[in-house]
Amino acid sequence: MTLRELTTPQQDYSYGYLDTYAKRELRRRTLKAIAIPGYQVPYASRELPIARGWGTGGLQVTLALVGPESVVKVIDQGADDSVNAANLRRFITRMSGCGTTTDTLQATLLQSRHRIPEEVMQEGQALILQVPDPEPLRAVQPDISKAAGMHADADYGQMWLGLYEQLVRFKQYVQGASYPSLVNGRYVISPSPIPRWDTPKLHQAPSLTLLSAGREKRLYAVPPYTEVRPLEFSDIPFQVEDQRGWVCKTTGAENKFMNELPQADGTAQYELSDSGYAEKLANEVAPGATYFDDQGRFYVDGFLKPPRRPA
Amino acid sequence: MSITLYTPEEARQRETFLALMWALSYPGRIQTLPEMRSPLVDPTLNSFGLIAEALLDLETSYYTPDADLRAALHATGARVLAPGEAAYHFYPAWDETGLSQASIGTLLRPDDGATLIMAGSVEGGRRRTWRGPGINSEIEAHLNLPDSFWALRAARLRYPLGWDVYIVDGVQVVGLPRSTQVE
Repeated sequence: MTLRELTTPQQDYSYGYLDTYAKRELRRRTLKAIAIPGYQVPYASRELPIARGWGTGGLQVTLALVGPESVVKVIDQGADDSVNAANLRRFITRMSGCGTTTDTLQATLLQSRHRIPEEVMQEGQALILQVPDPEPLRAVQPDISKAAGMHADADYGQMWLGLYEQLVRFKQYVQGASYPSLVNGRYVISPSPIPRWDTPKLHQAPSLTLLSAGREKRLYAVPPYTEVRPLEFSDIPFQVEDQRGWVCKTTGAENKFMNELPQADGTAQYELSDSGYAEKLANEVAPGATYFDDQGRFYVDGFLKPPRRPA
Repeated sequence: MSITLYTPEEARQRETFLALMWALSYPGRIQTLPEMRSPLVDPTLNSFGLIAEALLDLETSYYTPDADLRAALHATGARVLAPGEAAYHFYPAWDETGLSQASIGTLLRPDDGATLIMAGSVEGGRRRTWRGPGINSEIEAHLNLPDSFWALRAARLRYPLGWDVYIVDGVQVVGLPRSTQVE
């Protein structure tokens, strides 16, 4: 045996940046999160070369899952080309040698900040959502120890009270993003700050969803084919954003989630939030099935009910 | 900056984890573990060794009634604990004594519920209907496990408290999380 045989190529970083212990811990916690849908599993949350609050939770999960054969898509508010998404994508690629895509249907791992794509994700795909605040009870119980006790007891009465107060004051549910949702009939989650438009997409989704908060050091999961019900009173149903009549200025698409672009004359124009979907339409590539069809109907019949307001 | 290396060890641990992740994500579906020899144990317990290598280290604990396997798993650095305290249980053979003491967690920390890795046949058993997260409506599974396992699971499971189980049959693995209802 020679000294040359004993040496290994220089490696400044572990594969996937995280060291073996960090990845193994994340993997153990991920498995527990999948086994207990909606339960917030604590984890160590290592330092990364980006600041906490910029997607470190999602990034750690992605780095624990990614491999050379993976195809990764990263979006920020629906856009593949935002600075944050581009930098995360480049970092993941550099640390793993994985492929990248802007096509939702080609991705094996899809890391996202604040959106779920318009095209229906399929079995075997993993959606990794970056979560700034995983605690849905924060507004009603700022003490996290007490909030953990409320989750343990499934004591969500104050959440319902909050919704009732919204109806009394505004005659509608006014929470725009992070709409609290009941997972598998047991745990209320904050589905990360995705718009209400995206919340129903978690219900009975064929794909796996992992939600991770790096700053708060907690991760939770929505396994495939899991019941996810936005909190709603039986007589006042949950509603997604009303964007009827909004037409994408580039593609002409309707009934998809839009960005509103204020104009100098006080009017507004609209464009698709999901840039990968918009790219397909612009290039006349046939997109996959979408959660909402061109008439605005959700793909699970009867899940979204017609709007009703209290008298 | 140098490249990062996807070493054989890294590949083995990641692919094992992915098999476990998808096994738990789609309960009842057979996943395949990587067909590589683990350095931890002899070939007959290869799959157990792969899972141990992917999940165990000095931050966690295990229990197994099998003396040879217990000795082999020492290499992971994990602590050997009594069945009521161990986070991971490895059962190359049926052992009701250990299983009956496995932790189901607490309401504050349901994730303290034990993970069980059990040898068994993924086919040839009595037909049972599975429902719950990860299952599109329902499936019929034919795991060949002792009836006493199912009785014990039914007696101990108090969702969200319970065990999460992997049934290992050669290189095949099937996940049975606590969230799955079995009839």
